[in-house]
Amino acid sequence: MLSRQLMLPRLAVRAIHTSSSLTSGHHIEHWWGPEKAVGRELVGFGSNGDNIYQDRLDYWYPAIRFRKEDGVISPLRQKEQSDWKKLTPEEKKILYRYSFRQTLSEYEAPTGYWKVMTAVVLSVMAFATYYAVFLNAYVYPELPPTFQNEYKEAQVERALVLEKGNFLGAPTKYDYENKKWK
Amino acid sequence: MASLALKTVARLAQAGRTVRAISTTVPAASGHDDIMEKWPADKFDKHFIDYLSRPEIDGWEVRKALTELHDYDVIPDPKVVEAALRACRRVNDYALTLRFLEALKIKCGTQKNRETIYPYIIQQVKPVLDELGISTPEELGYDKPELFIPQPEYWWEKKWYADYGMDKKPNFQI
Repeated sequence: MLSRQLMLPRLAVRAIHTSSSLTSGHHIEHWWGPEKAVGRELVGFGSNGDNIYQDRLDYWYPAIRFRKEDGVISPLRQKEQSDWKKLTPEEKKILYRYSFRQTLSEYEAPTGYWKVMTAVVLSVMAFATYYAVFLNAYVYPELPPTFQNEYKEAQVERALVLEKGNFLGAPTKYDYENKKWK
Repeated sequence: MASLALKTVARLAQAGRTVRAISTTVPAASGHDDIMEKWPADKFDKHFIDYLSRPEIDGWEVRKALTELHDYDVIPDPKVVEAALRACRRVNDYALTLRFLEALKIKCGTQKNRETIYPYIIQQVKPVLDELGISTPEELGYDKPELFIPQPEYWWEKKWYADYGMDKKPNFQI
């Protein structure tokens, strides 16, 4: 791998660093792709040319084999060179499993993780509800008397008297001659 | 594919549109519209069959061709499937044939297509499958999930450490 100076050329070289570089986000030196892929045969391009294994519906052929070469697969790879009719179904499955992580049906199978997700979401909502109840019960002060229904009704009656003839609000809805609401 | 092309021609004829035989201007950017999406079916198929049938093809190129074929909104013609299977045989990659047959299912799209078109393709390429000794995913039982593949970022149970051989780590407990 190239040195840090070559990988990340700096336009202006700062002499003094006031902050630690340890906490600063993603850097290329923390990418372990080649180390993870070591021992696996590079067989294709994959989705972007990186030698990583990915199962993707849009790039169905990963760049590397899933498993490393070992004592199980080496004789099979030799046998694969000859007629495939001699391969048993078990050997065919092993060949597949060494090249690929999961079959299409396994890829499409429901994982059941929606249960974990639902549990987490409902837990958060329940906690938020209880927290709001707690705040209303123990933290917030009493609501002012203007929020009570008696006060609001009195306010409407006051408006009927004081704002009679007004073209907005409660007086427009009230029939003063018959003394009832329209 | 072929029937699709025929339908397109028929629709053009119904609409009363005529294809101009003589153009008075020189097409400045000829081939501008000549993208593979719009190629006629036989030309499209021939492109891939020719590429996959090259005797000197290597594994990287087979996967390149299959990935490219996978990119198009096309269910491969049985002729293309045959060429691809033979290409896999040429580079001695059995796993790739299974993967390609699964890719056919992906390209079929809906479940209904998967139940009608995929068996049709398999039935059409049956002679080649028998000749090369290729089992379909169904014959190997891969049409049903065989293994459960956990996703640790969602859920991980402690007892699975032993199953995955992680109990050899020095600080392992349980």
